[in-house]
Amino acid sequence: MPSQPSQSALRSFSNVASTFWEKNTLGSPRRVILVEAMAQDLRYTLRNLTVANALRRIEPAELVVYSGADEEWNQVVWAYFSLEDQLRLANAYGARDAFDIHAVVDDRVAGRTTPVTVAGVELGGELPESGISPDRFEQIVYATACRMAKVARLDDTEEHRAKRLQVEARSREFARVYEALFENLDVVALVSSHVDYNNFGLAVESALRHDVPVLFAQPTGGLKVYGLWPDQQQPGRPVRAVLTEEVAAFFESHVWRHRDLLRRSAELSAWRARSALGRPAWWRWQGPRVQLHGAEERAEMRRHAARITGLDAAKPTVSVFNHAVSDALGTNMEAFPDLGAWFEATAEHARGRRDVNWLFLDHPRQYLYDGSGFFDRVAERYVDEPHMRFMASLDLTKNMLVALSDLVLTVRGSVANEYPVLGIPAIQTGWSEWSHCGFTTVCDTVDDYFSELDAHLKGLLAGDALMTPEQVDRARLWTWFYRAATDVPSGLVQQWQVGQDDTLFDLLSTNMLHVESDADPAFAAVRRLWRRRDPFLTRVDWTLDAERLADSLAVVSPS
Amino acid sequence: MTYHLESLHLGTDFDQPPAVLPVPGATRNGDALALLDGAGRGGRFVARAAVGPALVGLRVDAPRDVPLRVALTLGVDDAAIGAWARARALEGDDHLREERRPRVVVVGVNGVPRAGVVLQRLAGDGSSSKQRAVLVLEPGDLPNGDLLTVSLEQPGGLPGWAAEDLLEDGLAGVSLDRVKVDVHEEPLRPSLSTGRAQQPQQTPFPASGMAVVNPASLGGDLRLRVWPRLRQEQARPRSLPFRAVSRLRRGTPSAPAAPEPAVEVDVHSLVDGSTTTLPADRHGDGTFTVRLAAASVPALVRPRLLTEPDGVLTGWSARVRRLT
Repeated sequence: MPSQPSQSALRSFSNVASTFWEKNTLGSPRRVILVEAMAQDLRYTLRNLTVANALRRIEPAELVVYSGADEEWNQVVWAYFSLEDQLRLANAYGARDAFDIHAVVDDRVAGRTTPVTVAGVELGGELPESGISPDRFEQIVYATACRMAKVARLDDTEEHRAKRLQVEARSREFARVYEALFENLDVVALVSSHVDYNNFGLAVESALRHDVPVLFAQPTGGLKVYGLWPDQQQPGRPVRAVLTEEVAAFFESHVWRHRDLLRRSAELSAWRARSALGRPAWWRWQGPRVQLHGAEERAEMRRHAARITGLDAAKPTVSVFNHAVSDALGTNMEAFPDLGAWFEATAEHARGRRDVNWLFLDHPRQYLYDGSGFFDRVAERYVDEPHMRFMASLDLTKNMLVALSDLVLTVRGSVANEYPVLGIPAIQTGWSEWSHCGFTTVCDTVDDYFSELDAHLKGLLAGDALMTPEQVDRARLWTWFYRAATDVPSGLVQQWQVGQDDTLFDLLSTNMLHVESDADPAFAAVRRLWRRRDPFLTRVDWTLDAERLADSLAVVSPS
Repeated sequence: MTYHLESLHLGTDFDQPPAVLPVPGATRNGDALALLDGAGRGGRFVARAAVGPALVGLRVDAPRDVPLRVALTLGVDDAAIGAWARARALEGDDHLREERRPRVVVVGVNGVPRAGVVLQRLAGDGSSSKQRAVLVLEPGDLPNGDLLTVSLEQPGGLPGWAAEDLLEDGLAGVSLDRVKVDVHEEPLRPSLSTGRAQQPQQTPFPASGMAVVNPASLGGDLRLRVWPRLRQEQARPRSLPFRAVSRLRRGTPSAPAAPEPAVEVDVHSLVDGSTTTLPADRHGDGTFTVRLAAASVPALVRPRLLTEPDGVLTGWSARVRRLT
C-alpha cells in the first residue's frame, strides 16, 4: 500500500492551498466544473482539481466535486479510501460542493429518499432516466460487472447473474444522478481521472451527450491530460477511439514532420526507456533496465533465456502478453469480443504452429483483475505442447523477454510501443494511444489478425525484416512524444514518482507559497488545450515554426 | 545457433561503446560489463546477484584461438545478507538464524555448469567471505567472438540433505567481486570450495560439512580425500583436539578403543543433478577416499561419519586430486 500523508501535513497544505486557489481562480455562481475524486490515491484528485482550477482562470466557474467509494470497489479495487481526505482536498481547492455520490447512489438503490441537494440540484428524489443509449449502457454495465467479479467474461452462473443485476441497478442510479447534474447545471467541463466503468464512465457519457468537454487526467508523469470534445465524438464508438485518431493526426502533422529536429531527443528517450523510468511502460515498469545493446549480447541472452524457458533458441519466438483480463473491457476498438477471447484464440492458433516458439506471459498484476484462474486454465490445455510455454511475466527478466521476443502480440498493451522501439515488431488487435502512429500492425477483425499473424510468421521464418527503420524511428519518437511533448512538468502537481506522502504536500506548499503562479506550465498548457480544443496538453506550442519550436524545446544544438 | 531478428535495433545514439578487458587482465567493477542480467552493476564490485539466475558478460581482447582461464571471486558480505533478507521479504531479526547458512553458487558457461563455490559467512571472516571459481574456456565457448559470458545460478533439484542445510534463495546478494582473465597455459588442477579459505593441500569444511568439488582442466576422474576433525569431549588443553586428529590420521587408536571409523560421501552432481552415496575407502592414516567420475563434477559433496567418533566431530578436512 502506498504511503499516505499525515493528517497534519494534509491540514497544513489545505490551508496553503485554500489561499492560493482563492487568489488564482475566477468564480461564477452560475457555472460549474464537475470534478471527480473517486480514486483512492490523492495524486489523481490533485491532478483533477489542478486542471479544473487552471481552467477556472479563463472560464469563471464553481467547483462541484463528487467523491466516495462503494463497498464493492473497496473490496475489489481499493486498498484504502479516505472520503475525509478527498473532501478536505476538494474544499481546499475551492469546491462549492463536495459530496459522496456513492452514498447518494446507495440510498437510491435501496429505495431510501434521502434529500440531497448539490449545487441546487436535488438528487434524492425522483429523477428521470438517463438518455444514454441502451447499447452503451449495457456495455458499461457488463465491463463493470466483469471487473467486480474479477473475470474475463460473465457466464450464466447464478453468481454472475446476480453480480450483473447488482451492477446494473447501481449503474442506473449513477446514470440518473449524472444526468440530473448535467441537465440542471451549466457545466463548463468535466474533469475525470478515468473514463471507464459505471461510476466514472457514466459521468463521461453524460457530459459528452450534454455537449460538455471532458478533461481526462492521467496517473503518470507531471501533468498529462487528454481532451475529449463533444463535437469530435462518433456515435457508437468508445471515447478512446476518437482519441486514438486525434493523437495519430497530431503526431503526424505536428511531431513526425519535425523528426529531424527531434531525433536526438527521441534517441535519448529510447535510451532512457531501457530503465523503464515511468509510463508508458505499464508492463513491467519496475526493475532493472534492459542491458542489451547489440545482436551479440542478445544472442547470448537468448540462449540463456531459452534454456530457462525450455524453448528452442534457434526458432523465432512469438511473445503473447496476456492482459489484466477484466481491465476496462470494450474501452476502445477491438477485434475480439474480450481480452480473454483474443488470448484463447491465439493460443489455439499457436497449437498448430510448431515451427516457431510461443511464449505466453501473464500480467504481473493479474491477481488484482482475475479471480478465476483464467491463465492457468488456458495453460492447462497446452501442457503437452513443447513449443508453447506459459509463464508469469515476472519469472523472466526484461532482458530475457527482449532477447527471446521476435514478434509481440497484444490487444492494446504498452509492449506494442516498448518492443518496436527496439526493432521488434508488434501486432495489435485493438486500438491504443499509439496504435495509429505507424509503427505497429493493427488488425480490426479476427480474420485480419490471423492473416497478418501468419504473414508475420512466414516473414520471420524467411528472415525478412518486418519493421522498417522508419517504423523504429516512429516508435522512438512516440516514446518521446508521450514522455515529453504531452507531459507538462508543474510544481502544482509534482512528478508522479514523488508519491503521495508528506513530501508531496510539503513540495506543493512550497510551490504555492514561494513561486508566483503566472506562466506555470500547468496553467499555460490547460489554457492552450482549452482554447485550441487540442486532444491533449502539450509542453510547448506545436504550431510554431521549426526554429521557434527548437527555442521552445531548448533542444540540444549548437547555437 | 540462435535465431537472428533482421529488424532488431537495440542500440541508440547514446550507447557507450562497451569496455574491453585486455587479456591478461582483471576487473573489480561493473563498468567493464557488456552484458548483465539478474544482477546489479557495482562500483566496488563487478555485480551483485538478485534472486534468479544472473548472466554476466565481458568483452575481452584476446586471441581467438586460445583457451582462456577465467577466475571469478565471489563473496558474501553484510550487503549480501541485507539483499537476501529483502529478497525474502524478511524484516527485523527474522533472518538472524538463517543468514549464516551456506550458499552454493554454480558458475556456468553456455548453460553447462563448470564450477561451483560454497559461500558462508563465518565468525572471524571479517567484512566479507570470499571464494574463487576458476574455469577454462575453449574458443568454442565464446560463440559470439569476444563476448565472454558466464552465468551464476543456484543449484536445482537438490537432495534433502543439501536443501535442508543450504540457505534458500542463496544467490540473492552474492557479489562478483573480481573477474580475472588469462590465457590458459598451465593445466588447472581440481579444487574444493568449502566456504573456508581455499588451500591447495588441505581445505577445512565448516560444520555444515558440505563442499563443492571442481574439475581439472584435463578432465579425468578425481579422488576426494576427507578426514574428520574431532574435539575431545572433556575439557582439555587447547592443543589436544589436534593431537586426537593426528592420532586418528596416523591410525593410532585412542584409548579407550573406539570402533573402526567408517565414512560415506553423498554426492550431488551439479552437472546432471544426479545424487549418489559413495562408501569411502579407509586408509591407515585416518583419511577416507572416494572416486568421483569426471562427468559428475562439479559436484556438491557431504561426507558422513557412520560410526561413533572418538570425540565431537567439529568438521572435516579434504583435498582433491586428479587420477591419472
